[in-house]
Amino acid sequence: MAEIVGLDFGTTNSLVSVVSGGRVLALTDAAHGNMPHPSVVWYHGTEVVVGREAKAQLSAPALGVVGDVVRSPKRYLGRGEDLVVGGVSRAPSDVVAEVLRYVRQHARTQGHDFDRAVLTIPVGMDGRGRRELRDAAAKAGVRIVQFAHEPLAALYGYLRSQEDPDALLRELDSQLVLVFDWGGGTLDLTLCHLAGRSVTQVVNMGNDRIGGDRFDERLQNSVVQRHLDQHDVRSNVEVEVNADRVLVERCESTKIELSDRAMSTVFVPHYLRTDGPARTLEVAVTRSQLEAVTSDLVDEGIRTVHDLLRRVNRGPEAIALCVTTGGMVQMPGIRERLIELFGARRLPHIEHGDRVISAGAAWIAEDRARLTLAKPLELLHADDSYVTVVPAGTTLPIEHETYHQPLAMYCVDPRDGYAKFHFARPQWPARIQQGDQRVPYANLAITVDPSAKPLLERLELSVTIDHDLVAALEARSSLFADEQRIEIHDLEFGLEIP
Amino acid sequence: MIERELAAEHSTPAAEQSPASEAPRPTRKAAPKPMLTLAEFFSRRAATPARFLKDVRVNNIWGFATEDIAEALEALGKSDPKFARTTGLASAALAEKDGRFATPCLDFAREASLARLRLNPRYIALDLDALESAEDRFQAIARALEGRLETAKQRPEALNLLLSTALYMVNKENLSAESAMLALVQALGARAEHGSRADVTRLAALVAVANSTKPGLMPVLQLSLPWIEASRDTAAQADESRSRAERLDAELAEMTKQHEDAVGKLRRVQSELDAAHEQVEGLRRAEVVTQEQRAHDLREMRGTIAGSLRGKLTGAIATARDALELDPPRIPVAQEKLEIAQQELERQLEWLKSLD
Repeated sequence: MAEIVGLDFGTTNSLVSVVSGGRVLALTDAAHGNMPHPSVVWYHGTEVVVGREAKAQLSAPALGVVGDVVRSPKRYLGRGEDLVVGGVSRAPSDVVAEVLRYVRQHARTQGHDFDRAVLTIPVGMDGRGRRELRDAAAKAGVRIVQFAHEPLAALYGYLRSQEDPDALLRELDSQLVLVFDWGGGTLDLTLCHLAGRSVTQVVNMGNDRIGGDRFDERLQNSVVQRHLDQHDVRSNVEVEVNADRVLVERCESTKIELSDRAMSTVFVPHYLRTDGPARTLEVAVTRSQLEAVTSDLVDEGIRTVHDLLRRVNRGPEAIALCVTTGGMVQMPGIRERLIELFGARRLPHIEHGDRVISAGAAWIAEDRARLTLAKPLELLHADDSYVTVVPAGTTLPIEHETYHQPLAMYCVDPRDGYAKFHFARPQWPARIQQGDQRVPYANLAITVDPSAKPLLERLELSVTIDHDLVAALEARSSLFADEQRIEIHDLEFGLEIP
Repeated sequence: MIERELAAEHSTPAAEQSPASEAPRPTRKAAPKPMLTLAEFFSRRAATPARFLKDVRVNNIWGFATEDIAEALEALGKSDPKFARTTGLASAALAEKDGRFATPCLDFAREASLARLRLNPRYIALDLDALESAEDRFQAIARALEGRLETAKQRPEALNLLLSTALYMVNKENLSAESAMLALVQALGARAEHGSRADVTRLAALVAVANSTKPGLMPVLQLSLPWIEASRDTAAQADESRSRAERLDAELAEMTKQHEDAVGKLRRVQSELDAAHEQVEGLRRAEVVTQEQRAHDLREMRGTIAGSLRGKLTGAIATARDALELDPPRIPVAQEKLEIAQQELERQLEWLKSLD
């Protein structure tokens, strides 16, 4: 059978992993220090350049479209808008397809010619985004066997990296696990609940104001500002051509060097287009200075954790395990704050933490682990009770599969000429009571015969969930023959561990 | 001569009055004294079996006394030298409706024929007990009489002995009438110059009478003789074919068994071969996986070194060079970056050593 890979199509980087002989092999870019491939596309005339070379064109660590470069095209999926890149309108799926095509081609050079993948997606990507991503993958010749949410993939990757995953599962049974993913673009927090061999999302929270790129930006701004202050430069002085790009590289090097040493100098000769000592940028940065200029970002990140816990009325002590991933968790200042919060025992060091999502996707592909519905899809009855339409734990469709559930009911009060459906989900995934708080999904109203007696007009409802994990709800009234359809794009998911 | 003798045995009441009979014709005036013993029957030369049997029936006699039998046997050599009367008696007893005297007469005929056959050296040489079937025994007796059948003088006696034996064996030893007839026909037919077609016909009729009381059967049997023989040949061929088929069946069964054994063995071998192939395939897969993992590890190692060289080292050295190329050179910056490069080199060397 052809290989099914795990593909972490990340905001800033993309990485393919495969399981071979019980080991995860990450198909990194060996020529650049085993790094993942930057999710960057550069439209250079008629040529399309992807990856590190495209990233090198950026003079600032910004996301989105910068000139003829697109960084993190994933964020444009599902918006229904084209991108204008270098004056040319492009469909987001075309831009994404370039990244996927590139990582597929790179994998082929390493002997892994795949055409099927378990593809990771952020929790916040809705059904429209998933559909467009599937189209993009198809354009790149990749069939998406199953989507896997990044936090679930990270947790699964961590579990499978353990010597005895079952023992850890037993230890974490009925406990909460926080997946802390601080990457270049966003900080994504997902609280998961483990029950037996099932993982379900409880609540998610994202913060795109404090992505890793902000740290680089802060460092660069700080360095430039100190340089200007040192030389008392007050007027607007232009920067030399390409000097900003060199500054980005040097700041990134400095940031890395400060992981091991207390001080490092950012040095860019011929930075400012001016004569005199101000022309050369030479700023010594200490680790504490770096931490100082980014402390508010770290604080905000930690506050986001508290906000998440507050939302579920839990404290840090309720977290049995914190799985960290993303490039930023290597930063000592962030790790120290997390240790303060959870303690070292609940914050294991994850080797290659930046690869754990990709590794989890590869294990999901290898183990045929299936996504499940985290919380039941419920319908509000006339007596104000909630009835389950699609139960929690329902195995969700993989490629070319569909889940279908028909229901029939009768209109209780047709006097206003409408039968109204209110769909919701419980806030918590387990031990659901009628009085528990609900989160609304959608409402649907169909025309019924107002003169009909109560409980006479039959209402037919069907729920279909497709492989893009979009639930289509179709209702039909038997006397009035009205039909209405809505889609739910934000179902919440769990993972059934084989 | 034979014709006459046999005609006497099958005589009707009219035939009994025939002037050709050897027995003296009783006068009408003096009714002959009834014959109540075998001795009396054989002592009267003109007595017919039918008359004798009528006398004993009328006088309510059901069997013959041992002394009577012994006396009759004693005198039989003279009273019935051609054995025609004994044979006729047995034949007539069998022809009776109730068969009341069949067994006594047949037993007597048996005793008499044995006594007579024991005078034949070729008979004495026979070991009849060794022969299982009545047919074989009858044919052996027929062969013992072969020589006498060829001699005109001895032929009537031999023929009657053979007939008498046939009657006994058909009725007492389950000799089939067909076998008896065929044996008789063969015994006579082989010596056609001594007999005639009429002999054969009569013999057949005699045996048929002995075996069946249905009057319409005789002509049919006469006509059926060639077909009986043909059917026996066919039956023999069928038997042979059957036995050949059985042999073939046995051979087929044996070959089938051998085939099944071979197929079973083939399957076992195939299964072992499949297991071996699977093992080889597993080893091959394991080898592929190992090679893949080694290639990956090597790539990762190269990547780590490349990352170090391209990243920290190159960056630090490039920065150091930039610092030194300026006028005035930035010595502290160059020193710092070279120190970083040195630390990175040492770190990489440590890592390389840890791989050993």
